[in-house]
Amino acid sequence: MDDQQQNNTGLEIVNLGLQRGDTAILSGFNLSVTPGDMVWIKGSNGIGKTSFLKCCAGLLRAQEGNILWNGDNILKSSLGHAAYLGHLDAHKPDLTALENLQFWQTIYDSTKDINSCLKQVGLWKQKDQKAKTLSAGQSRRLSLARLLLSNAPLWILDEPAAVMDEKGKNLIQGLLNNHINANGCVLLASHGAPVRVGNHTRLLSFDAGDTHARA
Amino acid sequence: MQGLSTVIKRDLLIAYRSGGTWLLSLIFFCLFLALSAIALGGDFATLRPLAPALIWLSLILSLLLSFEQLFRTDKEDDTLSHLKLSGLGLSNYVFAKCCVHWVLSVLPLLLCLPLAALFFDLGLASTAGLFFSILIASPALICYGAFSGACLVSYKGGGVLLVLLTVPVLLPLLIFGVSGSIRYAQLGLHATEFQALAGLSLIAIAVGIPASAAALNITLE
Amino acid sequence: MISILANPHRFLKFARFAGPIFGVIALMTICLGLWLGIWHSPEDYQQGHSVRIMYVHVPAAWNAMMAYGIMATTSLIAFIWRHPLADEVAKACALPGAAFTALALITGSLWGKTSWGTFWVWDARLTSMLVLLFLFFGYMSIWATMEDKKKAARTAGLVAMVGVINLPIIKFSVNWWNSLHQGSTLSSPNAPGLPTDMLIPLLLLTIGYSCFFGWVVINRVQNSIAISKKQRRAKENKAATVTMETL
Repeated sequence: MDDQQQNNTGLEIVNLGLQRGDTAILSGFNLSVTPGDMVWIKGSNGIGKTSFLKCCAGLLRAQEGNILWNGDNILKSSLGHAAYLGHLDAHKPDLTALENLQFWQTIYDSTKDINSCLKQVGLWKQKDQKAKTLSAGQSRRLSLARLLLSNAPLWILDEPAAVMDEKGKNLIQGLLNNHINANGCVLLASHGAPVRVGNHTRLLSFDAGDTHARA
Repeated sequence: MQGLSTVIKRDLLIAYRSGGTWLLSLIFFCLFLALSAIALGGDFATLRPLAPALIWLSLILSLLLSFEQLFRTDKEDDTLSHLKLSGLGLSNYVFAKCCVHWVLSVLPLLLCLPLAALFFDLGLASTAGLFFSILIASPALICYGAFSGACLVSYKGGGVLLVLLTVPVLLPLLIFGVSGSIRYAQLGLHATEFQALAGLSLIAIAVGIPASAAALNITLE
Repeated sequence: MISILANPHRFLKFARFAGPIFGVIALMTICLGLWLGIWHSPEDYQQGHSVRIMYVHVPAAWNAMMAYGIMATTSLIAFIWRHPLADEVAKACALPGAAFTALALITGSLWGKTSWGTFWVWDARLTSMLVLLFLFFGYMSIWATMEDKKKAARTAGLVAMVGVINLPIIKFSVNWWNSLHQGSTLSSPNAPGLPTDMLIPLLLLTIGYSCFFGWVVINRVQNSIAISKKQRRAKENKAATVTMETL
């Protein structure tokens, strides 16, 4: 425990070079995200936000550079540093909302209370509905509940508000606030207007480099 | 360990609610046997010596058809990414999947062997020989099938390629399995074939599970 | 970037002189070996002239297995050290390897026609060659079906490695099965027991086949390096520029 506190540097991205297929996304990129930091990521479609986020989660392997979490390379297996919310909700359609969460609770080895997570995202009434009967917004809320369930200090969210109504957007805002106040870190890609959360909020804008072919 | 059992529990529950689609490979197994018996003339005297080979063939074919879907849904809905991030370890996940698959596809076939024996008028000794050879070889069948399924998890072109990938490595199992089920009548479980099958299963577990996990990792990267 | 480019450069330099050398040695040893094998080696006391098929068949079979071995070894290297050139070499081995296997099968069945009277017998050697052909096909089909070439390379590498672990098991099981069902088949002469004037052309042809294999592989790798360079140049773009502001 002491060790962790001494080495609580959060996410460190060092000299990252990232390509998707033959398309370059980033090169020589550095970023440090310490506990309590919130990073919004903006950029047009296809610029590579999702690839970058996946890379930070440890789902994609970067071509160059290192990504460290508290000093350890994130590609080391079973680090459990990040909870990821992508475009797909990853719920099993034939299981109920509650059963889906129970599965992830055991997988995450989480001690958090499922019922309170469900209440927080406003799915308490639907807890015994099968995931396939949930609407897109409700399904997203279930993903948020899974996020709450995980112990991971780093949240990586890819367009979390994409299918959400106004209430849902406010819900996400509230959850982000809580997580940042509890000394978590957030990386979030969104097309919406970035909002200040906590004491250290930054906005990263990805702009296209020159895309025409070099001779 | 807990993560492993929860994957098993989840998949069994999903299979239970799926309306019995896992029974399809069992039905295929019976169908193939019935067809072969009919094609060969239906005379027990000709069928009986061919039965072990036919039952082994239909076992392999019916199993191979099912591996395509083994990791497919978890890959398509991105559950695999979340599992990888959770720190469960993909090898554990693959192992759990293999256990579930054994319960859902091999176990029903083993339980239906008496029925197959009825089709071919097999005696108790032959049926027992088949039962033990399939039982001992099944870990290898599952592990190599899982490996091919993991390699082709993002390929939607049908199961023919999976058969091509898997069949060469299953050949030793077929050889020892058929011969073992025949020789069981004289030697019981002391026949060399059973030792060979057990060895093959151990090798398959040691090779197939980490290789499947590596293949899944590649599709995620 | 440098490490990716530097090694193919070094390879291309090596290939520029090694390729032709392999090609010339292959041509010379194969011609010499065939000449010796056809005109200056004894007939078999049982099989007569048809034993000369051995000079084409046996080196093909040996080289096919060697090709699979090299494919698996380079796949292992590529898998552990993520060396892209090793993947290219592994990929380049597959087609000539499959061709050697097919050659071994065809000459084997011709040999079978003269000594067994049928084109195909479920003989242990032919059967394991057939399985080897399927293993090559499986490996090549991964490359053919997966769109992302990096993923294809790594997956195909895994397939090759699992295959090579199973290769001796398959060979052993087929031999065992063969001895169980066929009794004794006509065995092709074993290399150590051969008279010297049969052994020399056999060895010459084996060396020739190996050099031919090396020549083909080097050419295929050169080709694929050129193609990927062209593609990379066509698609090359600058990475995104990232600006950061504090809110």
